[in-house]
Amino acid sequence: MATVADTRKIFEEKKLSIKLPLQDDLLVTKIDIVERYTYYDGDIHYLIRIEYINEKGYVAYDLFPCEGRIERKTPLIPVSDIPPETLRLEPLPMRDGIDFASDEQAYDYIKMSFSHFVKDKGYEHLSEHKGCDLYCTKGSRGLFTDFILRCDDDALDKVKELIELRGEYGSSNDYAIVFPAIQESLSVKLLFQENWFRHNGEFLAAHRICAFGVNNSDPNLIYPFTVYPREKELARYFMFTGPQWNILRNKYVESR
Amino acid sequence: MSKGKFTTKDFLAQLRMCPQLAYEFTNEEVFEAAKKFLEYVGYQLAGQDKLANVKEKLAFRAKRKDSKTKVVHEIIGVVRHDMTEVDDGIASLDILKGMFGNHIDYSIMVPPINERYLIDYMCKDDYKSLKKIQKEHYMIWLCNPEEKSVWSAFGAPRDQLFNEYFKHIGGIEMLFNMPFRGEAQAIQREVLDE
Repeated sequence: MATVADTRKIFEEKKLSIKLPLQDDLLVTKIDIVERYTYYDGDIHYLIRIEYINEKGYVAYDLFPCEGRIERKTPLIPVSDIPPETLRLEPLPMRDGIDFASDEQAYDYIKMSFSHFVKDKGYEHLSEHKGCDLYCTKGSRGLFTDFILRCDDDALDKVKELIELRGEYGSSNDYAIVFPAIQESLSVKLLFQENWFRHNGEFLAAHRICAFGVNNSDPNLIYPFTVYPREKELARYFMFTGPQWNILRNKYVESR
Repeated sequence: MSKGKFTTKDFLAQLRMCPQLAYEFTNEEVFEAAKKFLEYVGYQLAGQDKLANVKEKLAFRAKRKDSKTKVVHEIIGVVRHDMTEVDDGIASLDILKGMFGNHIDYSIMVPPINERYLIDYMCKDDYKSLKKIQKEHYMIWLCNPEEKSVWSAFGAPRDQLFNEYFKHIGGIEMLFNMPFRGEAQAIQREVLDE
């Protein structure tokens, strides 16, 4: 059976500093990690429960907080800590207003904006695909996209098609719906749009279907509404633009 | 307005227990949804004849070969209606495990159940059920046929691919700190004293 001295030695080998106010020759019967917290910079904090046989020969136990470090080959940096890269391609021109005159105009706008966005992020081979409006690839990871104009029942049908595609092509690809961020000129009230997300957001997130809203006047700005894509550069971009949607929404509500 | 003092006891008396099932689904609906979910992940369902000698009407067996590692992952599941039937499900899984071995993942499928009941079930009799489930590496999956989603509330399968398809990653143990040792209360007291 290991003694307290052995335990201390093992912890030292694991680069964990632990202060055990126990005699070195006491026998340790059990060690449990009660709580553990790992920090991004490599620090670890543990709460360890050690069961030992005390001087009287009885089993006793005590809690010991300890701290240490984990050596990572590559530092673990949260994706959101690195700001997204600026546009590589020439930015698209801004629109004068936020309204769309027709469905075709809105469709062309979001398609142009999203195609430009994915090209800028390094996606290639943009093409139509069976079951979705746009398919593109970056390395081995594909992105299946459907363009929708309104958050309504038709959009939900498109989502179901994407879920079927996910069943067919697997989770190694990303799946997304793209729509205008504000759809009031297309006869969908902001309240209805938000209710649609309140009702279906969990369903979309459960199937890892991303939902991206294109800024109505700036085609170079896209906001996320459900989950982030798995592709890191896209995820980084959307972590950056996500909070901006609330600002835009509040401004829009104030201005109308 | 009553003249008497409104006490905590009065307040608690006015509360009603929430129902156990968050949605009403039949066992057959859950069974079909579970099979579809496994196909969605990429599993191939074995014929019912493989489980013919088991007295389970709603049991399935499915397998998937990982194209990269060439490992064959296999899973067996039984369907139960609510937490009151989970003990019976565990007994069935014990029999199935005896027949098919340790290399397979075993799961009990239930419809979405309010978390309160899941936790109460696991905490009763000094975490007896939780200990059993953890010892045998069984899983309890909450399957929502309407949403076509599954969440492994207890336990996790060996096949990591499931993490991409489960509604949430990680079980209920991660959401609630559930020490299951006999002296859990003593530990809590110690921590609080500190």
